[in-house]
Amino acid sequence: MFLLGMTISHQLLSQKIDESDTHAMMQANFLFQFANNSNWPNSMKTGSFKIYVVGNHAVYEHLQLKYGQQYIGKQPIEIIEYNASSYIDNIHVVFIDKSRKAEWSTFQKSLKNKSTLLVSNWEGALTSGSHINFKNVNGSVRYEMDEVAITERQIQAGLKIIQWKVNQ
Amino acid sequence: MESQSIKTTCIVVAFLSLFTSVWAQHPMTDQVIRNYEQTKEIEKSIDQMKLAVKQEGLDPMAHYTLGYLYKELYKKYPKNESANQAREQAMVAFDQALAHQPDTKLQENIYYAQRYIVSTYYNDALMKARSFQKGNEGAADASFDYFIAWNQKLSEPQPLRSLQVEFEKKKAERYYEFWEQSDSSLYYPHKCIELYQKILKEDPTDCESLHNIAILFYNIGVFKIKQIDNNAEIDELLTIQEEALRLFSQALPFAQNTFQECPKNASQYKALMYIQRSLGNEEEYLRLKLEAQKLYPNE
Repeated sequence: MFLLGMTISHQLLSQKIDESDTHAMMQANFLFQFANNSNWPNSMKTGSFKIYVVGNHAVYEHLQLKYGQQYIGKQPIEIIEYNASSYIDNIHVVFIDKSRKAEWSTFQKSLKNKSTLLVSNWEGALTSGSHINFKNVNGSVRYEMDEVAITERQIQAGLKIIQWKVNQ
Repeated sequence: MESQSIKTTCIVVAFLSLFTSVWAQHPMTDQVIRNYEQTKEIEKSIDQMKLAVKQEGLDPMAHYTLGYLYKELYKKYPKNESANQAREQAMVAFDQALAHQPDTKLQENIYYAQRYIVSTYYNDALMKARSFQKGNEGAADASFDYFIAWNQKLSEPQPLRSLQVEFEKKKAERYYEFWEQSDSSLYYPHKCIELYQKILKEDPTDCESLHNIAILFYNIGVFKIKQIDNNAEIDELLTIQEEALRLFSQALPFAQNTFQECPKNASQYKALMYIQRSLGNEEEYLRLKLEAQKLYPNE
C-alpha cells in the first residue's frame, strides 16, 4: 500500500566526503605565514616573491588558490610547482615534501648560501639542514625551526613565527 | 460437467438476488455507477452522486461511491489543488460510509481505499521533505503530522517507525543540498546531524545515518579550514585547526562503526581514509587507500 513512498526512498542521496587534504591546506597556510612574517635581504625585494613547491600538488594548489593573488610587502606572490626543468634561482621559500626526500641534498646544493627559506615535512629534516620542518603533533600541523640556520641565510624570522614553533 | 453447471447456476442466482436487494436500496447510486462506467466523466458523476447521497444518505454504498469518485478524481490530477480537496472529500465520504454500518465486503473496500489515500499523504510528506524551501521546513513536518493523524484512524495503521526514519532522511538530504548550494552557513549541516542523530536514537545501527554523520562532522571540519581568512594570524590558524581536529575526532567513531557494522563500499573506505589522514594517521590512511584500490579499482 505504501508503494509510492517506497519508490522515492530508493532515490536516497549519499553525502559526499570532501577529499581535500587538510594537512596540505594547513601547510600551505603556514608557508604563507612564514613568508609574510619574515624579512628577506634587500637584494631579494625586487620582482616577484617566489615560493617553490616540490612534490606536493595539494600544497601547491591550495597556495595558488588562496594566496596566488596576494603580496608580500610590495612583491606579488608567485607560486611555482617544481618540475625537472624548473630553474631554481632567486627563490624566497622552497617547500620540499617528504615524497621527494631523496632529492634533498640536490636542492640543498643548488640553494647553498642563498637567502632561501627551506621548509620540509619529515622527521629529522632539521638536522639535515632544513630551516623549518612541519611536524604532526597529535594530528595538528605544527612546525619546528632552526633559527640560527635561518639567520645564516640573512633571513629574519618574525616573532610571530618564533612564538608558535614547537620544540625540536 | 453437470455439477459445474449447477454451481454456475447457484452463483448467478445468488448474485442476482444480491443485486436485486442492493438495487432496491440505492437505485440512484447504481445509476451513477452505470453512467460513470460508460462515460468515465468523473466530475459529472460526482455532481450526480452528490444528489444521490441526498436521497440515499442512509446507505453506506452511496457514501462509498461518492468517496470512490473523489478518489478517482484525485488520481486523475494528483498535483492539482482542487484534486487535493477531492482527496479530503473522499476521506470524509469513506468515514460517512463506515458510520452507516457497511457489510463486511464493503467495509474492506472502504479500508482499502482509505489506506491508498493515507499512503498518498505519506508520499506528499516525503515529497515536501525532499523539496521544501529555505525557512519553510515546517510545511514538511505539518504534512507528515497530517499523515500520522490519518494513519491513526485507519483500521490497521501502518507502523510509523520506518516511515518516520525515511521522512527524517529526506529532510536531512534537503538540508545537505542547502549546504551544498550556499556553502556559507553551518546551520544546515548541523540540522542534518541533528536529524541523523534522532534516527540513531531509534536505530543505532542505521548505516546510512552513521555514514552520513561521519561525513558531516568531517566536512564541517574541512570547511572550517577552507574558510580560514587570508589575513588570519598564526594563533587563529592554530585555533581553527584545533576546532577542525575536534570535528574529525567526532567523525571517526561513526566512520569506524559504519566500517565494522555495515556492508562495505568505496564510499565508506573513503570516509575512513580521509578522516584518518586529517587526524594525522598517515599510515592508517595509506593502508586503507591501498586496500580500497584493490577492492574498488574503478572508484
